[in-house]
Amino acid sequence: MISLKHTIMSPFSSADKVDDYLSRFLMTTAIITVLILLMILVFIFKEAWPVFEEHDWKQLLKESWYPLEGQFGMLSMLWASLAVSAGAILLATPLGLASVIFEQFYAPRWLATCHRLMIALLAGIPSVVFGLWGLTALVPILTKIQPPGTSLLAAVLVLALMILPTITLASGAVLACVPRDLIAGAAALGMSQKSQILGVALPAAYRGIIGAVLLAAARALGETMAVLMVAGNVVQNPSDPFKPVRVLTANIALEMGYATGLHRAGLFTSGLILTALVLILSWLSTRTTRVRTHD
Amino acid sequence: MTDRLFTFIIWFAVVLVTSVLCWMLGEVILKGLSHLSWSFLRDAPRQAGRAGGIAPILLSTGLILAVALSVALPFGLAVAVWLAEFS
Repeated sequence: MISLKHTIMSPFSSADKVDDYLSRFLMTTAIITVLILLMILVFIFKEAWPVFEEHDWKQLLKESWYPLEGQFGMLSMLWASLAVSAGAILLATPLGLASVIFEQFYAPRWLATCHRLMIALLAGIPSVVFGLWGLTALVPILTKIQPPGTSLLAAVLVLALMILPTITLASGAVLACVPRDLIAGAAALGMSQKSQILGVALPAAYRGIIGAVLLAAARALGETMAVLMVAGNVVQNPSDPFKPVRVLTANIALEMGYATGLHRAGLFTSGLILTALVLILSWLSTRTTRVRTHD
Repeated sequence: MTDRLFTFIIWFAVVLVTSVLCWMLGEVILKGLSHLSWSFLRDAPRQAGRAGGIAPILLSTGLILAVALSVALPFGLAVAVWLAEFS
């Protein structure tokens, strides 16, 4: 019995061995990838450390950013980052959801395909091109309304356009997974198309939609180039949509070129705060999206 | 009535997004296309970028892409296979 098993198993066991080697090799690459990520985080921590060593961490939550005099208050820039992202989310979420609903319920098939291609195109445009467009087309219009033009509002508008594809593509994938039976059932009950969408399809997909919005928020928070080009970059609290602001990402990009010593460490601290925020948002996004399969 | 309104809002949003995208692409193409020529792609910049072309910049972009891909592709593929088949 045992010998029989042995003869049957033998051709497989060599394959098992190859599988084993391959598995170990692939696992090593996976571990290396994770290690690289950890090393980046450790590096940011290490570079930011002098600020925590020489200052009270509470000083970071003040509004005075005078890095050359050792004042690293990042609160106004943090508020600016959050305001720009929140504005972009508020603007892009309804538009993105409308795009998804249009694609899946209203558009004829050929138009839906065209629309999907257009959104993919929008997703592929480099951020610096968004910034260039914002600076040469959008900012002059805002200047006419109220100078200086480079402002919180300009950043919100450009950023909303940039995260629209993220919301559309991610929530579109979720909405496509809502069983057609549910919608057919709603139609059989005599519900109008609007009620089918708002009352059945969207509630069934709402976790995924929230996940998509969180993912877009993480992107918005981390976006640098386009925002830097149109936001005006004055360190101040976001009080008026027509006044310039400076976001945390832009702060790093603007000052890294000449920063040394403690100033440089201060920039790494802003990087640390940003990384933490983005990690939390991405984690929340995968958490909300994961569970729930319809059947 | 509200149904009509909803349909209108959806179409309005899509037309809005489409026209902004067209505006942006149009801006870039209209302002860019007139300067695009074979010599622009082939020449080096002169006078600190005020004249000449973008050949070295194009080349370095390609080289950066090549380096990034040659690192990311093997690692990305290997990790994807491991995640899908073994983990």
